[in-house]
Amino acid sequence: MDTKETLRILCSVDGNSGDEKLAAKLAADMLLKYGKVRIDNLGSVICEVAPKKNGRHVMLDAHLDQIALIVIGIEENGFLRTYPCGGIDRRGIFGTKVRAIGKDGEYIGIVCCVPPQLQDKNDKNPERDEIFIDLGFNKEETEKRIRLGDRVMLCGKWSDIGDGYVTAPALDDRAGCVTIIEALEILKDKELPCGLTAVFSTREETGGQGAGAAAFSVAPTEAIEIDVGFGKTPDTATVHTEMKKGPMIGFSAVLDTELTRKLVELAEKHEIPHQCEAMGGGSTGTNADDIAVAGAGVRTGLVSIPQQYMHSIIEKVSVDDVKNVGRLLAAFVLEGGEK
Amino acid sequence: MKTFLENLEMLSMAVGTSGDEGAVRKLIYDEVIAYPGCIAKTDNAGNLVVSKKGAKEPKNKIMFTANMDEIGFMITHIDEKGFLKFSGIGSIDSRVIIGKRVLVGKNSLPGLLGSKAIHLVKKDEFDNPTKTSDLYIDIGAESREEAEKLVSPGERAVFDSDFCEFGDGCVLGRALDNRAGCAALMELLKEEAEYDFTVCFTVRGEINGNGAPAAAFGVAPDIAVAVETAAAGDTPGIPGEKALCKQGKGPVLSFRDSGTLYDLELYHFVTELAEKENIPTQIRTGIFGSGAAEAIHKARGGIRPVSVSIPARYVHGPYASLKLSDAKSTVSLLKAMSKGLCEV
Repeated sequence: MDTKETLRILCSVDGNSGDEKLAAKLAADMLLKYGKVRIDNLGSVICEVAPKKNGRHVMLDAHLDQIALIVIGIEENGFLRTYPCGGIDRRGIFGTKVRAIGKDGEYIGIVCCVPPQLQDKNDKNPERDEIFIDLGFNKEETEKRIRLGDRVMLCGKWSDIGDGYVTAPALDDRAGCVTIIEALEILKDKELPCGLTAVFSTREETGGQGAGAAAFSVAPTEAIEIDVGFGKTPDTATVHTEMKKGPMIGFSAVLDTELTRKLVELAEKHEIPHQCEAMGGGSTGTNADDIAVAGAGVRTGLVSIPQQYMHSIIEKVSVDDVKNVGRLLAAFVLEGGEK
Repeated sequence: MKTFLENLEMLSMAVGTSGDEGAVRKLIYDEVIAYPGCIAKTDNAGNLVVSKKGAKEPKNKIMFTANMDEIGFMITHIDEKGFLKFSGIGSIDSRVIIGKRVLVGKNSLPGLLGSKAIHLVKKDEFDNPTKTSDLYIDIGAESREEAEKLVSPGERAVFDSDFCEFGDGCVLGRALDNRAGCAALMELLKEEAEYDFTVCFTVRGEINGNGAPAAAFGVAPDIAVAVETAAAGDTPGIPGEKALCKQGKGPVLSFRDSGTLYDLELYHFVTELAEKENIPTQIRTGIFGSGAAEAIHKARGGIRPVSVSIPARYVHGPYASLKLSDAKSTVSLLKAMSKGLCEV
């Protein structure tokens, strides 16, 4: 499988939280060859790869949605007033090119900023409800095209960078989706010792509702959540996980310790580079938190792809890290149940 | 011969930060040299000086100027992990650069203006803009040695932006401040002229504008018309008294800015000329901001300064926007001025 090309294709479609339809359709098409695919009530794509048996049933989940802005008003001068739908970084939002997805088409625009000549030194970053979009239309023309609740996507660009890295918006967490496809590709001609369901869930960036609901209906015995994690940069003294050092295996109170140790053991056995991401507190900030408590509870593990510049239009991952997460997931499905 | 829009796109996509305008100069030269009656040469400062031969000799010698340079970044240091430190060329605000793509060095390598993920940002860091000195450019290198093979300190970077039309007759692009002024002056050079005049495409406008006075010294005009962009203040968050001009209301005429008291007689003359020609104009309603005229009007024994600006939004960011109708009116006004000012 051409991992990089699959990443590029999956990152090329829009899918903001609560409005993942386009991404879901593409993902569903990609999953068809691995199993029975359905889309649930919250829009998550669920692929039953191996039917549920009496014993072990594994669910692999990555989220499909990406951050964007939602239109909350149209101003007198035709500007859109927006609010983050997902964790938009207000520090660098000014001057970003955007696409407003209207009723009958999409419209190019730009996030307004105060010209530097007019900024005083004590100026702050914009508040959440102070992110305005200039579509170049007056109020009347804007109202013909844009409805409240429409989404505004931040424009970025897919490209290779350095040796084996790629950068694009939405790599959080389409890269996670690709690790699952990578694993399914490895597993496709093998006889599985357990039931297996792959889930590409919705609404992670706004609370993880999609994964919680999917975990309830799939009702697995164990689950692995795959998300992106922090790759060290010069300004992150507290981050110890690094790019190209392989899957980040998460340790947290909400995660199942035995299962987590199994992931480490399998990574070592198969010589997959890996690193530990230890998280204090009671949660991981990922879908794992919702899956672990779904239904009667699910033994859950978390594997993350190191990523730099998360929640920006320049998100960056290593293709090798994505492949190695896929290998670890496949190993877990095949051997995770062994004592 | 390219259309105005084609010239604007060509110039917007060209790379040329202050002091490194060679590529832009060459594009303008190659185009204008084919225009009627144009002789172009580059002066020692790097300005492109285009003499336009008209049908008659003018009473007043007129010079039009526009800066060709743009803001950007200069690589100052490569750290041990291969990240590039930089300083701004021209006025750069961290709030428009975090998380943007840049093109680095002579080979236009993709670069990422990185900053830690939002999840790791503390509340006070959200409320107070990040210092530019805390940011860095990531070119995907994993060590200083690897980065040094690709880029050296002193090389430049610019925003990686495309050019596009949007909305109701607007365009979005990099460096429209002040390549829009350059494109307008190229239009002026396209047609047969009634009088001789000179157009200077000047360097280093974003760093104190020391290219324009050198051009003025060399050309020695009586009147200098600085064609620039003016920051439109008709966007949310700008109080009315700080709104310098508005998009869609035509070229901006100035009687004063923070650097220059413009020639009053010529200011009134141009205002009336526009009225007579039915060209919409607006008056600059704030005195803040300054332009090339500040240095030009003090050159030699003094040069009578005139300012014509195209309203533009979001200058000094990855993209500026302007309305094509404003640019078109500016070109019409400049054409009328190229005749009228010669006869004053």
